[in-house]
Amino acid sequence: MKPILILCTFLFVWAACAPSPLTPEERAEQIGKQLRCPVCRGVPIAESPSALAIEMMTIVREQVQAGKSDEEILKYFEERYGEWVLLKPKPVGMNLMVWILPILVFLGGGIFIFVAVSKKKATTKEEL
Amino acid sequence: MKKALIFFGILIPSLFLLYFSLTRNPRELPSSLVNKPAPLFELVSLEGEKISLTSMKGKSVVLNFWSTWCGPCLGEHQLIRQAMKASSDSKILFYSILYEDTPENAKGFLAEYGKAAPVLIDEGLRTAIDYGVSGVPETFFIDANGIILYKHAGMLTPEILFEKLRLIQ
Repeated sequence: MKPILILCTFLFVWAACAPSPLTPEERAEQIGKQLRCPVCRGVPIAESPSALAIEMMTIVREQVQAGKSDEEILKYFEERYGEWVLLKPKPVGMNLMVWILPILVFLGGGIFIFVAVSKKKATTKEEL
Repeated sequence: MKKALIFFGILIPSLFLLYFSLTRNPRELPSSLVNKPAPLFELVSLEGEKISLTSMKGKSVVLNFWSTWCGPCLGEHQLIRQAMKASSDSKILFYSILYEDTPENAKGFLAEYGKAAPVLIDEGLRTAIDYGVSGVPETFFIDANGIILYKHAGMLTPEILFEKLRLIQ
């Protein structure tokens, strides 16, 4: 009886904590936040008041209603505007530098500090 | 030896990144539509005539997105008038697609500055979005097979216009 009770409690908590499915409007907003407004600077279409961005949001809503996946909708705009329209660049080609470079700089800096501190310690010990 | 290795290890990637960034034009946004079939459209002209891209099959097309409120579009308007006169014998069709503007404004503009290419009304900006337009003026050069060979963002110069007309001829 006890395991069943624990299982029920777990399922209840899990169901209560699980994110509720997004409404079509929430999904459209979420997709719109990933698309760059072509006539603004760095503003997603979901936040732009320009006529072009408003029309692009209408297309996003239409495609959400038509049952298209997020990837299909993003691809629709990418095919027309290029990868530039995606606010989060794809981790391919030169874009990889955005992810790799900070790690390399962090690791390189860490190694440099470690080596410098070790050398300094060794020199101090020798002097003593 | 070790120091030289570190020095070149930093220098070579830095030079590569510098070369990569300096050899790119920051003002140029390459169109993903170049060398691809031109998106189809069916629009209504200022005169109320339905015009579609499929009806232009077998002919080269110059599509110019413009607005009456756009300064460079005025200069381009005169240039397109000249180009249309110069290529009146060729199979090149010129169309101007009105962007974020009203037919009334376009009629007033044409009355003042003279008629050039037939003006098509893009209500809802769907054709502009299909062509990935991010501002005006933008011009697309489409060959007789319906393939976009070149996209020009910004005001056309006579050199670019006539060179690209030869390209699609």
